[in-house]
Amino acid sequence: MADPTKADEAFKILVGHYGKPLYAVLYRVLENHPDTDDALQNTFIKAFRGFAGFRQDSSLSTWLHRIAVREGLTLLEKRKKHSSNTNIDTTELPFLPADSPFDGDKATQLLIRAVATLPEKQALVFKLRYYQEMPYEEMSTALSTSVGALKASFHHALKKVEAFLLAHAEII
Amino acid sequence: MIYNTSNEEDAETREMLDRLPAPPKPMLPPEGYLEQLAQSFELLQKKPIAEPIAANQNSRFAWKTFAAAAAILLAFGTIWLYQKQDMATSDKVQVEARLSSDEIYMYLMLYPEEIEETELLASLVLNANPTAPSKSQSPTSFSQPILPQEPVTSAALKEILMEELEGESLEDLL
Repeated sequence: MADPTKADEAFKILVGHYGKPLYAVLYRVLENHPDTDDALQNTFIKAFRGFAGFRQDSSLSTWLHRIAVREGLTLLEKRKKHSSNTNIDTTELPFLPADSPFDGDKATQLLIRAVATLPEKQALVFKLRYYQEMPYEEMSTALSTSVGALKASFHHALKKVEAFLLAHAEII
Repeated sequence: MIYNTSNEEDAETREMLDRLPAPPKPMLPPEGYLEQLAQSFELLQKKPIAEPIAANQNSRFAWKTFAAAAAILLAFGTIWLYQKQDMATSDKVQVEARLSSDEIYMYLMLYPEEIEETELLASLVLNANPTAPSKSQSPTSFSQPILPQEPVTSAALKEILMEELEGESLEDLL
């Protein structure tokens, strides 16, 4: 795309069309606005630069989601390297921050807390599958994991979430 | 429940999903954020972008490849050392076989009446199945399997003995 005006226009269309759904996916993975913002910018720039490599064997939306999930994971990895206290104490109930953007009912908030107790990979699979309804095939490509392993991961995550919800049912 | 891709799940998973509370609503970007992002194309093009996750995986892959290559090299090195050791052992066996043949000749010189039995002896020697000597065995042990360099026949043995005796008859010697 040699014409800068056209390139600028194309970028606006891309952001306008896919900005919201990609932001939602990235927020699920990163859970804060600054990181989501950073990952979303990278997603669009990478998609724009690599558009020539888009083989159209999947939809544009699938392709963009794949880039976004990879960007989200990259940022998670970075965050993990910079942060020393990543271990979550599952014996205590994790609390949502006071300014949590999630405004669901108590049951949904408890679900979010339950997911926070999951191991990183299981939490990611759970969020992408249950929250975002991402098909396994798409997730498999984005996470470089087999569909079977993802299904197993999701199943284990579900069991743990259910156990957590049952254990804390009196809160609801 | 808004979850609608459960046809990919098994029955047990579907049951668990039905018991779960509704997932939280999708997070929307702050007001005006996407508009601002859409306007900043020129600026974003100059943004240095971090290495993607695939690059990290490649780095891990490189380490795995290096480790695998090192393991293969070690394995080949070990095999080469064993082979070298084995060649040295087989050289020893050949020397030992020659020594053992000499022993046979000496024995036959001392006991010529047994010359007639050399054919049997030779066949026994030739048909012996040579195996590498065990560590517990003495390298000069006569009972060890031996592999002669050339087939030993009674005629050849007689000739050798006659040369050794320098024309003297066996009876004279005894």
